[in-house]
Amino acid sequence: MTLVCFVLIPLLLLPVIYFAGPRLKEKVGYAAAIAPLAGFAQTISLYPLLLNGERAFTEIGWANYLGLDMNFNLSVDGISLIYVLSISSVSAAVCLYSVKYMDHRISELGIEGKERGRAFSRFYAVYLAFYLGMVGAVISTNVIQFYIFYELILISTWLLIHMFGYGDKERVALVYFIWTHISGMLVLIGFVLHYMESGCISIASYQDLSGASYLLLVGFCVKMAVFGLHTWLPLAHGEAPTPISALLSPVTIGIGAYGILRMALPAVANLSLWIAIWAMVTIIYGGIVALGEDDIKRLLAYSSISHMGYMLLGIASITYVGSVGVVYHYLTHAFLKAVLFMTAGVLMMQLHGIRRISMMGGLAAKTPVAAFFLASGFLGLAGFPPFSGFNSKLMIFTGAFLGAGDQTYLVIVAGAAFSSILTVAYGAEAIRKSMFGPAKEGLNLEKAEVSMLIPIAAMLILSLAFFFLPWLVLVPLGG
Amino acid sequence: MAVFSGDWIGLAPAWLCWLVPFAGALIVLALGKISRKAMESIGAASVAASAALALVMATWIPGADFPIRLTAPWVELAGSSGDLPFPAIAFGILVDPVSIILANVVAAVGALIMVYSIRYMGEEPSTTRFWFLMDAFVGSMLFLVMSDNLVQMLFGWEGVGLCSYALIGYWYRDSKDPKSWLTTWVGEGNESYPPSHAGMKAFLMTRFGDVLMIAGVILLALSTGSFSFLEIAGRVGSGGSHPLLLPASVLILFGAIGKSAQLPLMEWLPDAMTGPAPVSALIHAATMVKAGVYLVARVFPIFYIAAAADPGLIRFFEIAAWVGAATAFVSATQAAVSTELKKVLAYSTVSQIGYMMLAMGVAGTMAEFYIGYAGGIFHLMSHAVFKAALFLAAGAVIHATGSRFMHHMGGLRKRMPLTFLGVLIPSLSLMGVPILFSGFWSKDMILEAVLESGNLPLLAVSLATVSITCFYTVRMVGKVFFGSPSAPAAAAVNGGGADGHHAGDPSPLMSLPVLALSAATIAMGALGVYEREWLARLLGGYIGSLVGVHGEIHLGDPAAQIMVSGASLAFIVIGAVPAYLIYVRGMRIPTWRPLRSIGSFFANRWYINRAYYALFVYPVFRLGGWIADRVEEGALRSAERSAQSSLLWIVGRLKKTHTGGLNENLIAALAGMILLVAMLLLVVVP
Repeated sequence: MTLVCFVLIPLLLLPVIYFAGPRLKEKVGYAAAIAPLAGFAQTISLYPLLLNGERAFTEIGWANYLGLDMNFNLSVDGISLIYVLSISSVSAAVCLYSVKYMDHRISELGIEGKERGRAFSRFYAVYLAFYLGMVGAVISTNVIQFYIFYELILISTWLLIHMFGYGDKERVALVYFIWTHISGMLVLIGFVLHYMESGCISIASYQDLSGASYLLLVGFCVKMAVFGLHTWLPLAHGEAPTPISALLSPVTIGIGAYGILRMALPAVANLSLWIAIWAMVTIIYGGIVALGEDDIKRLLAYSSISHMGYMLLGIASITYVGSVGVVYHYLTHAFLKAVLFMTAGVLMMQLHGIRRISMMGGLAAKTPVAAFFLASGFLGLAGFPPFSGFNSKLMIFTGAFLGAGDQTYLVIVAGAAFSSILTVAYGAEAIRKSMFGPAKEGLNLEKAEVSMLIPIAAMLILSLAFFFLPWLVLVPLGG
Repeated sequence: MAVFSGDWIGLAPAWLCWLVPFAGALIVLALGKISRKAMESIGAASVAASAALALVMATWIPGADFPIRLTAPWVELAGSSGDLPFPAIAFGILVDPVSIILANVVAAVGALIMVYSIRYMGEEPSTTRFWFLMDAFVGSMLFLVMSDNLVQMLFGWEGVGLCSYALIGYWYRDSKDPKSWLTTWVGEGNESYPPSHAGMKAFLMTRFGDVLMIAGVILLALSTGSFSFLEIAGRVGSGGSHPLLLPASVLILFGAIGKSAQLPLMEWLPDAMTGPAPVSALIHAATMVKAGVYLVARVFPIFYIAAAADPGLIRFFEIAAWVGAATAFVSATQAAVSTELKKVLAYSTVSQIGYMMLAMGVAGTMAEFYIGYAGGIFHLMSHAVFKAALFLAAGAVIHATGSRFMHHMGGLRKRMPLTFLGVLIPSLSLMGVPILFSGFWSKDMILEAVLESGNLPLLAVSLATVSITCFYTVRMVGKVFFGSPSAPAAAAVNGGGADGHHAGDPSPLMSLPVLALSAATIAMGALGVYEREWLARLLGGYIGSLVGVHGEIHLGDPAAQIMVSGASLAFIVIGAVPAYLIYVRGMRIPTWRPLRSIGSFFANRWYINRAYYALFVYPVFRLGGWIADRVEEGALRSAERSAQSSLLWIVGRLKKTHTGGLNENLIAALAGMILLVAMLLLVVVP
């Protein structure tokens, strides 16, 4: 099967979903899940090839314009494989999960009658565009293609937040759009500069240091929401409809790390120590704010910022182990943060929209399954076996220690390693406040939807699997 | 994919012994809703089975050629050339005398505790969670013990931490009604904590050590190129010393300090008494806190060899020794004034583990390391047995009186004779009363090692601790079993207790484990003189072969032994007699001011706990809340709004130029034309 299927299936499915939506109503969500599920199946089918140390490549002649080799090429190597794996599996799980959630959300928004079907068709059509953007971005081989997909992510998620978000959703969507677009513009200018200097648009050509590398670095850091460039994230991920948060927070922003690994490494190599410091500050800042945050979705958003700090630390090390750790952590974080956001969504539905942790309490007795998911997600992310977070963090820190050139650097890495205690702290605190303690009065809990719990369990199982079978990640990345 | 090396089938007990409890945990989970009886039986039987498997391993000790390794590849970076800096992580089992002894202690004591739990937890509404966690806990601990490399040890290590977190906070409802408050909370006044808080505290504080330990493990692996204990030990000796070795060793020691609740990370353990009594017995006597000592015993050969090459590394052992001695002393003083029964035992646990740490530490500084090393392991064994008995008996007492405070007890020896026996024998062992009790032999072996190392300040501290230990032990026994019954105790004894039942000895299923453990204490004590020699020869020979010291094992000269025994006897008397007079005979003590303020200093836990809260816990939480509210929600949002409004202002201003008036438009058009001409000129002229 050629790699075109990765982009072709969502592309062809999109209009079908859009036009079938009004008739199928919420069931259109199950139809939409075909695309990510097919993507997941195809990723699995690529495994034998990648385990042999080869890579998948599909070439499609498209245009030779201005002497540019603008062939629409797609390639999957180790890094892309892990990215596509995370994107497709989380997208599929979230898609299945979102059916019941959006049903609820659309009622909450007061959309009734005929409009309901249209709302579903809008949601899932844009959802597919979102998925298409993510998958396309990580299997592209030239920057133009990459940029198109990269901006497709932005536009689709902006629409999703705008239409289905919480709170002041239009404004939040706009803030999100502007910030992420700044990232897009910086990246675009970087691409143009690089083209002017070297005449190349292929992603593989970004091996040398130039002004473009710095622009790309900053652009992708905005996407990753590292400290100082993060202000949009808690807002957007907090107010987005929860399934979209579950996809945005771990999967989408991690694509920034992908961009850096592919295109901005020379700049990182030049600034290794400073990037490590920046990463450490991000880890600590995200962790501390998460500790003080009361809104569960915002808390998770800050936790994502903190985890992007870990990934940045691995990138900063410029070591093989560190980079492997980064990709591994992307996978881990994708699964477990999705678990957490989806569980938060389940709780919000059960509690009629309550998001403040201080208003929960003693929930463990009433919804033990949600309590289990929440605890597993937090502890897995904090690096407890048997979740893949253990492996990925171990490798990131090993890489970081290995890359530490001098004593100052060593101290920074040690500081970053040490601050990982914050990751445990906010997780344990959130669990304690929401799940333990005396039951709060007047909380009436709805029964959780089983169809929403199954996707969460699937993500958890995947995270377990990648703890026990690390070679699934390490062998493809070995090339 | 996996290539197994070693005789995995023939050595099956070495991996079955931890696999069985894990499997038991899963079965318990499945059985939870179906049959409670079946669940409890499986829960206890799986640990009993691993005790049997451990016993099978014990039979290998005389004949086998240790160490034996079983390995299978686990994490390997593909495409690696030989000199790749990230060492491969194998999945491995290490069978040697140290791991076998530990496995036996953990599994056997664990099995008795599980039997006890069946009745103890009998009145709880649903215990699936309890049994699942207990089985997983024993499994993790055995996994930790049998692991062949540091990373794998960390799995068990974190697994133990995780289970303890959930078990300490088992009664997570934190009910504040007086009855629950009396049995499920811990502490008084400002330092009173509900179970969920205590669980989290234990979790975070041990995690604090773990994080440092992970950093140490990574540094050690990077400086030696392996994660495996044996391979590292084989490599540190050759090729000189590595500058990262000392930091790595100290960081790893912090992991042990956290897990074993040593200074400065001891504050979590006393508060961890919020869990049910079997949990306290399992976590805080028999297994989890021993993991730290075990870790030091495991890395002992590595740093012993390294210290031979680079004397700077002797500091690792010195730090361990001093940390141990200081902890032993500090927590013993806290035990001497504690008001809660289980908390006395908790402080005492911390203190006794301090002794073990001290033993390991001084062992590393001497050529005859085996006295200290074997002493540490010996004390670990004897302490696991007698402390488990004490915790279980304490559980029965608390269950009977409905309170955790000792001033709610008193005069119970006639009503609960079996329990009294089950407290008295282990208590004598804890005090180190000569000849018949295991604690005597093991503690004296440690004191002997300290004496031989020639470090007199350490000897003084450890002897002083002997006195305090005797004081608090006699005080505890006196307050609980002697004297006149307090009002609640009397009420409970007469059948009008809080829950209306008669206080008395618990059912046989609960008494028998306690008595079995007490009997084991005496058996170990009676055979003590042979045991210590056997351990010293076994461990001395084995560790000696690892570190390359092959010599005659001789257990010090008799003079030293007699001196130590005499001194410790004297210090026992110094501590025990006043406590006997005050708490058993009921002599009145004059309230002497300085004594009282010292007492309150101890009772306030030397203000260490409070300082931690004031310095770290509250500020970090407050900072987080402040940033979340003021910076993230406040400053950043308003900056965003002002950016928005200033942009609107500029746009508004620009809008004003669109007047539509002919004059303004003409002027603007003219200005534009002039600008164009100027630009053209500038381009064309040069």
